[in-house]
Amino acid sequence: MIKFDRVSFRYRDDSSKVINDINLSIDRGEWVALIGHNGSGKSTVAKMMNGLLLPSEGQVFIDDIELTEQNLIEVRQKVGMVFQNPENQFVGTTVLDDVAFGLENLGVDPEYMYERIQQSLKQVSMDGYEQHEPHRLSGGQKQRIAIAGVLAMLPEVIVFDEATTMLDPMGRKDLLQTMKTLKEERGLSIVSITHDLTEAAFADRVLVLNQGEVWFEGEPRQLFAKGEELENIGLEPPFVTKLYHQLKSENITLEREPLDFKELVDELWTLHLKK
Amino acid sequence: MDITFKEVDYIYQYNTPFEHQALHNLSFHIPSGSFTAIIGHTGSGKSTLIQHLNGLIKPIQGEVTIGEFTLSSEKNHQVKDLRKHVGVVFQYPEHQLFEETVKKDILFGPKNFGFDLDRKEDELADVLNNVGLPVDVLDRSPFELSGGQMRRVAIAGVIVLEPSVLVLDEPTAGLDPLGRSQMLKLFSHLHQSRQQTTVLVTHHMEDALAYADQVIVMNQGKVEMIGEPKELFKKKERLRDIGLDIPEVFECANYIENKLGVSVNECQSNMEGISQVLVDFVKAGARS
Amino acid sequence: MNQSLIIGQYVPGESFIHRLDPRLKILIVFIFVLVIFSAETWMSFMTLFTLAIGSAIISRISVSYILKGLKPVWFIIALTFILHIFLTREGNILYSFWGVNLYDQALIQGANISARLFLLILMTTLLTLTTTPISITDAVEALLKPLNKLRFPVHELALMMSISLRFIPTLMQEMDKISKAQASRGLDLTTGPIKERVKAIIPLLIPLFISAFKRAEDLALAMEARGYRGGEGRTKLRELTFQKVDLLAAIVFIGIMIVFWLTRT
Repeated sequence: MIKFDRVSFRYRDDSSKVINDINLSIDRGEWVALIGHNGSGKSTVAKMMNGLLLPSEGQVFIDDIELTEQNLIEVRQKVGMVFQNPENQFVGTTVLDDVAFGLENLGVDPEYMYERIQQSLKQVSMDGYEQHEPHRLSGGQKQRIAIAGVLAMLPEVIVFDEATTMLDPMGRKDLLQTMKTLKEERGLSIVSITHDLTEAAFADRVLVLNQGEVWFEGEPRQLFAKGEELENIGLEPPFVTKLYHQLKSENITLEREPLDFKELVDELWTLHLKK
Repeated sequence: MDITFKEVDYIYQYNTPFEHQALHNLSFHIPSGSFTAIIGHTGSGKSTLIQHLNGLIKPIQGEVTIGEFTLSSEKNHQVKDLRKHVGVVFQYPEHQLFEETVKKDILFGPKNFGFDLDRKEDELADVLNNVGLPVDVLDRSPFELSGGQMRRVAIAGVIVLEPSVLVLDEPTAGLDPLGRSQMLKLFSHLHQSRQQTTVLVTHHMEDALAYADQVIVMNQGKVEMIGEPKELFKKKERLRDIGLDIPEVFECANYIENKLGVSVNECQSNMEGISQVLVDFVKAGARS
Repeated sequence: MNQSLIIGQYVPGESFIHRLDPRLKILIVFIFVLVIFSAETWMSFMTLFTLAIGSAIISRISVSYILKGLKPVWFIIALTFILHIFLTREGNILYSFWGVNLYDQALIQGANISARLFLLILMTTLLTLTTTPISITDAVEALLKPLNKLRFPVHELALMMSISLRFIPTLMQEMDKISKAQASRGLDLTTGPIKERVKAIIPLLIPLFISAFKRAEDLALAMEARGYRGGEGRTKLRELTFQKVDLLAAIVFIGIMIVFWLTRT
């Protein structure tokens, strides 16, 4: 789906590399979390996924076709993007206009637009809001409209560039749930860029960036197993990881690293039964 | 300074077809020197509440007393004096920066309130130290700094006034986890070293639990619950009904009680306590 | 917290006037404004008044609302009238007091100009009261399309208009927030000498500009990510269509214009 081959990036020819020689791939229907503290280069990577930035060295492939200035529009149709600030990505004066924006850019026949807009709004549970103006919507609702705008373009991947950062806990939970549904029901690939490790637990695979390089690649469990090392690169281990760390110091170990406290307690329970 | 709300009503766009009541008959008390957290989901009236604390808006009905100041629906001529004593750090405070240098921006408040500027200048190193910034930023433009540093400059611009009440409206919004915990430690330190009253508006139950000695839960413009955090977070159902979570420690404790059938008492509602309960559970299992 | 802010003055409704094609409405108002200044006789003024007041009645917008919309311009109309009375020195003297003469021509010309101004403002107000800002934008884009051939950036202009409309409420909220933050730092906008008060706007404007630039930057990126590449190859969700009602309105308008032309001098 998306492939980075030895990609480096610098903003100016004379400045230092923000991204240094990274390889990555995102498969169809997969959820990959891209993690790193502020300034680790994760947003730069995101922007290279749909040609908002082009690599200084190396190549980016979308469906095995190299991304160049000539095929930007096709790439942007396939790779949708939802940004951090809900307010600043709302282009239309109403929900309807905003969802239509991408379709208009692609030159879709207006006859088909309404149907596609309706379907997309339904998928993010925002049908019935067509005539709403952005200042009457909450941050979480605006993010869902942004997703609908991308969905209407029939993408294969959606990149969420810290899309949950500015939301309240409820909005964040809703958005993560929506992302999960999109992956499961529509088979979309999800790339979520975040500094929240709890969010990373949703992913099939995690890539951790630090100072423009891939610091870790693997399953969320393996990442959590790194424990205190995470703090060294500016990430906060989740509650369960800290708890498990405490238990380990009392010589209690489990068969696998727990992803949340339920797993941990459940494992202890089975351990207890076996004895 | 003690803060008391007495039967306060507030209505946006009062007397227009668009009027919208944000606070309903709100009454509560914040003792002087306390660290009070205000929680509630978006639209529960939190930000309307805190705008009363320095007279940015005044009640339509009822009365707010802050120290010796009183705010009611009548015009108050002491508002500026009140603002000198109540510092407010708004959400994304870095958006208020405007001066050419960090120094000028920090001294904007002291200048407006007629402080002795020479004295305040001498204190700047101290203030910067308090917010965790190096002294050499003083002569730089605030817009050259990173987002996190800009926020610290904005906070410095408020605490330089040495307010008796410091109001913080989601001061960690948008920061990464490391930045967040540094920021909270900073406020906790300020609270202890300055003997001020701190009011923290937050979405993070963990923060309320870790730092506050009183929590006010807002819902639909009313006080839903008020009390000590540990007591309050036991009422899981009631919080869930109004769309709020409880801290993960409490959720975990509940889960342990239901699943393993061992009780987690109040003083064990922290990481160490829970770990101890689990260790005991496993060891008891090993013995039997 | 300006949840109910109205952009422009649009009053939602389902009247005949509301449903007209915005292109036609703009065209009618445009022609109307042009011909106002050639009206000279009582009859021609009557025709124009009939059209304007008739449209106002059909639009079913309450009189008080329309008057409220005209409020800021009453002063200008009155001032124009008074200036004409004092400055015109033609015709017969009707009345004389304290050495100031009132001429009959002055009265007529004053009334003439005031009536024209009133008609002009009433019709344009009706347009904005019955048409959403976004429809006006669409119509302007459609009407200016021929200018595309002269390389006039019609699409860009329309996009600019619609984005401005979109961000006005956002920037007003932002302004509210910034002024509250600065007021908390002791900024005083309501007292003190004018010079001080003007200076006090700087701490509001600079943060507002910075935020507006940041938003523009974000928005440009978001638009690009959604495949925006200018007006070329672009389709539009809202297709303006000329309906039967529009034809009817056009015929009525042409009819009235013919009457006007015949009675003009």
